[in-house]
Amino acid sequence: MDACVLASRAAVDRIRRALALDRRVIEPRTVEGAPVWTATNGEGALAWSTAAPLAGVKGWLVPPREPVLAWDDTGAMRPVVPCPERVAFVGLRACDLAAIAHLDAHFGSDPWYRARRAAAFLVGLDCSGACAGGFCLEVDAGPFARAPFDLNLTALPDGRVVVAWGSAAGVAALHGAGVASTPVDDGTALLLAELAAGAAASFPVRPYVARGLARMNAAPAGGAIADEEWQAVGPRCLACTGCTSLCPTCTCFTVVDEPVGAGGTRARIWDSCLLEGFQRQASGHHPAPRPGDRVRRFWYHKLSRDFAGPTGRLGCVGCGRCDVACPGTIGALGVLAALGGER
Amino acid sequence: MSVVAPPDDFAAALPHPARVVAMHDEAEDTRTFVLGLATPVPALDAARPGQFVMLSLLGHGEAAFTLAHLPCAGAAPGTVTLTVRRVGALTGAFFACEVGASVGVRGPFGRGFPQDGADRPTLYVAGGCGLAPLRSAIDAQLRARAAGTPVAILYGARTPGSRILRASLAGWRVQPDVALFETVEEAAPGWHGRTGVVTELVAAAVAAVGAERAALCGPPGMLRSAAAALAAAGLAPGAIHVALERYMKCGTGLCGHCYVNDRDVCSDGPVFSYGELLALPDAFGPADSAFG
Ligand SMILES: Cc1cc2nc3c(=O)[nH]c(=O)nc-3n(C[C@H](O)[C@H](O)[C@H](O)COP(=O)(O)OP(=O)(O)OC[C@H]3O[C@@H](n4cnc5c(N)ncnc54)[C@H](O)[C@@H]3O)c2cc1C
Ligand code: SF4
Ligand code: SF4
Ligand code: FES
Repeated sequence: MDACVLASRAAVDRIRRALALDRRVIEPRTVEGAPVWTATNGEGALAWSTAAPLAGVKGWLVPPREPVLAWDDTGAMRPVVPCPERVAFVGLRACDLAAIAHLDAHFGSDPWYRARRAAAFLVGLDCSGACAGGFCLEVDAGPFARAPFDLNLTALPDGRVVVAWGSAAGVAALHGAGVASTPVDDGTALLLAELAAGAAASFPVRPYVARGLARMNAAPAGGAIADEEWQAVGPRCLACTGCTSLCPTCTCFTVVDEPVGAGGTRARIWDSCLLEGFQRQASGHHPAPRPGDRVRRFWYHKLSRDFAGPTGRLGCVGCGRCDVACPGTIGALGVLAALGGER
Repeated sequence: MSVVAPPDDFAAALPHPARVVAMHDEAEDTRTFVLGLATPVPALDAARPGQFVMLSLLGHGEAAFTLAHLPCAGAAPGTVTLTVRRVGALTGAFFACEVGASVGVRGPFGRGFPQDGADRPTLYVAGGCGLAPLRSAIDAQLRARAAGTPVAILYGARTPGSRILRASLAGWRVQPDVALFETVEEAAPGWHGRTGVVTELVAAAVAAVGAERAALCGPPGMLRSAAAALAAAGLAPGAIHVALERYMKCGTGLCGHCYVNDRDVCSDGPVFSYGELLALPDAFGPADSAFG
């Protein structure tokens, strides 16, 4: 294991402050009662037990509005090259990291994404138990982190911290902070395994999740679920786009021209496949004319193995944000409950 | 993911500047535009029938159009030919352009029709504007085929007045070993040809040339029934190639707009074999949809 042991949580604070020397350190902090990603400068102690913020870090890596091209009054075009601020996110949960693996695979060829991603340093923080509404365990995305991270933290009950590294930048940050560390010995490795098992055991038993996923993945291409089932679920979607905005793996965008005087800007803007016009064609053909068609298409994208990326994981990382956002009852667990015969 | 993209990667994503050098009306609401590229773009000269470009009009955005004529079908290098139906905002702005107007072109994108098989008896089936994307495929085969290779073209339009590419149709009609079948859904005074939908003629057209492969483009309902009719007439699903259409915003597999099941029409298609489409339940839209 590429990891070492720090004697105390205070050593992690030293790393945070060292990161803050040349990056903006952004961490979950409770603001007006809710966790929010907050620029902290690495000050104070890390908020170890603060839950994952409802709005994740997607907006830093894939901004809601990304200008890509500008033109002037002569019609000459130039690319809008982003100059992203160097940031360090400290306290990313396993589900968030799994989502970033998804973004990396999807946008890997895109220079705008690569510029923003390269400016971000990722520090993970393993979950000691299930969060409210999370089901990362069932979709193999948590609660303990795997790649991609630069550093990943696991708090041990005795106050020590295991820190793993996943990149050369992570190793450099660890050395740069000048913290003392010891190797992971057999006893600590055993303790880690026990912690992981305990975290896994803390998840509520939801057999309908496995049943729903199995139905979603029966051949052919989601077609094993009857159309009537989706049409019954569909009207529960109000097309508010709350889920697609908050979902850390949603990547769809539209492109708009914004003329200003004789010049202007062409920008990508977050879009949502749950909106009626997402695929409506100029010819009048509509591949998904009914709400049930669009809801099926969306959940198929999240829950079908057909979309498993290079990581082998589903498009859904089980963070549960969509269940919180949905004014109806068709977030991920709501839909899996319907498909899995729970209600 | 630690490497920052070099500036060249951003510039490469820009549209290639071009100007409108010629245009002519095909039918009511349909016009062919010939664009001249400001500087040579080898990839566009090497493009294959069935591939498409994103046409850019600053201030109006971008939209996908199939390359309607190509160097491999006899077009001049350095030009981009698009046959466009006016349906909305961007196409309306394009129709308002005059010769000399500046536009932009990104591409070519996607997978076109198979490159081999010019010597095999082939049937082309087009509905409405779907003839434009097939034009370069037909012309490329007519140039490349061994003498005597039979080719059939089956074209269905809504009305006689909506028939596009009449010059190409007239040229194909007099080519040796080319069988042209035309039909309209609603006849008009002066129309002496067939009336009906293309699907009804598929079996006869296959038989007429002993077709071993087919290429299709048109509205989804027509594609669905014509592909099924071709399979019923004995063509292997892998030998029937269908050009799909979806709303597209990027052309490069990123924006999500064009996906059909787990495939992106822009980069995995737009041309798919019927065999592939049989495994994609969403290819033609919901079977019971009134919109198909
Ligand atoms: C691979 C590919 C190849 C193609 N090849 C060709 C080709 O060779 N030739 C060709 O002509 N076309 C082709 N198309 C289609 C072409 O891309 C569209 O016609 C084009 O995008 C239309 O753009 P527009 O801005 O003019 O229309 P839009 O303005 O986007 O939409 C037009 C239609 O949608 C309606 N509409 C728009 N917004 C709304 C709204 N908010 N609510 C209700 N209705 C609305 C309008 O009334 C109108 O009927 C191709 C498409 C693809 C994907
Ligand atoms: S979904 Fe899993 S990894 Fe994400 S916060 Fe909840 S327990 Fe942690
Ligand atoms: S679909 Fe819902 S639970 Fe799954 S990753 Fe997206 S927001 Fe999280
Ligand atoms: S057009 Fe954007 S993904 Fe295909």
